[in-house]
Amino acid sequence: MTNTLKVQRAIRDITQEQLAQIIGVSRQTINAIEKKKYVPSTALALKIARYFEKPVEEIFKLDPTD
Amino acid sequence: MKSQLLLSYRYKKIGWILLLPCLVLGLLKWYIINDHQFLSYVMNVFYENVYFDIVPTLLIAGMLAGALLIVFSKEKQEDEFIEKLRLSSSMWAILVNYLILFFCNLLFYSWSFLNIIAVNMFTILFFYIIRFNYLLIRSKRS
Repeated sequence: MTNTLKVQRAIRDITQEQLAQIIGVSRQTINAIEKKKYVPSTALALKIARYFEKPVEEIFKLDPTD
Repeated sequence: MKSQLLLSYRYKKIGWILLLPCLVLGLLKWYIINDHQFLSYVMNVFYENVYFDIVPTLLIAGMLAGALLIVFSKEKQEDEFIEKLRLSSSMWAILVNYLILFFCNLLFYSWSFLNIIAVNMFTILFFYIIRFNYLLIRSKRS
C-alpha cells in the first residue's frame, strides 16, 4: 500500500512529532507509515484522514501488489 | 486496541532498576564466586537437612521479576505499531531461543547442558528485550 502522508504533512507544514501528538500515536508509527513499513489499522487511517480533512483514498492508495 | 496485559510505563524503570544489579551480581556469582562458603547464607527451610543457598534464589527472583516488568510494561506512547513490534519481537525471541537450545542439545551433554538450561531460563525474555528495543530505536530513525 502506498501513501501520500509525507506530502500531506508538507502541505500542512507539520513535523512527524506534531502529527503523532495530534493523532495520539508515537512518532515511530508515523515514521513507519511514511516509510511504507507499516500499514495502519482502519481506525488510524480514518483518524489521519480526518485530521487532513481529505478522504482516506487520497492519502492511502492500494498498490498493484496488494 | 487496548492491551489488557500491560502495566503502566513507570514499571519499566522499576524493572531496569531490579534487573541490572541482579544480572551483574548473578553473573559475578556464577562465574567468579563459585565458592559456596562466601557471600551466601545457608538456610534450613521446610525440611530437615535440606540446605540451599539463598543468594542465587534471590538473584534469580530479581532477574525474572525485573525482566518481566520490562517486557510487560507499556511504552511511553503505546499504540498499534508498537503492539506489532511486540508481536514480531516475541516471535523472534521464541524462535531464536529454541533454535539455540536445539543445537545446544545436540552439542553439549550432562552438566554443561544443565548450565545451558539454567541460562536458558532467562534468554527468552532477554532476547525479547534486546530485539524489541532494537526495533524501537531503528524505527525512530527517519
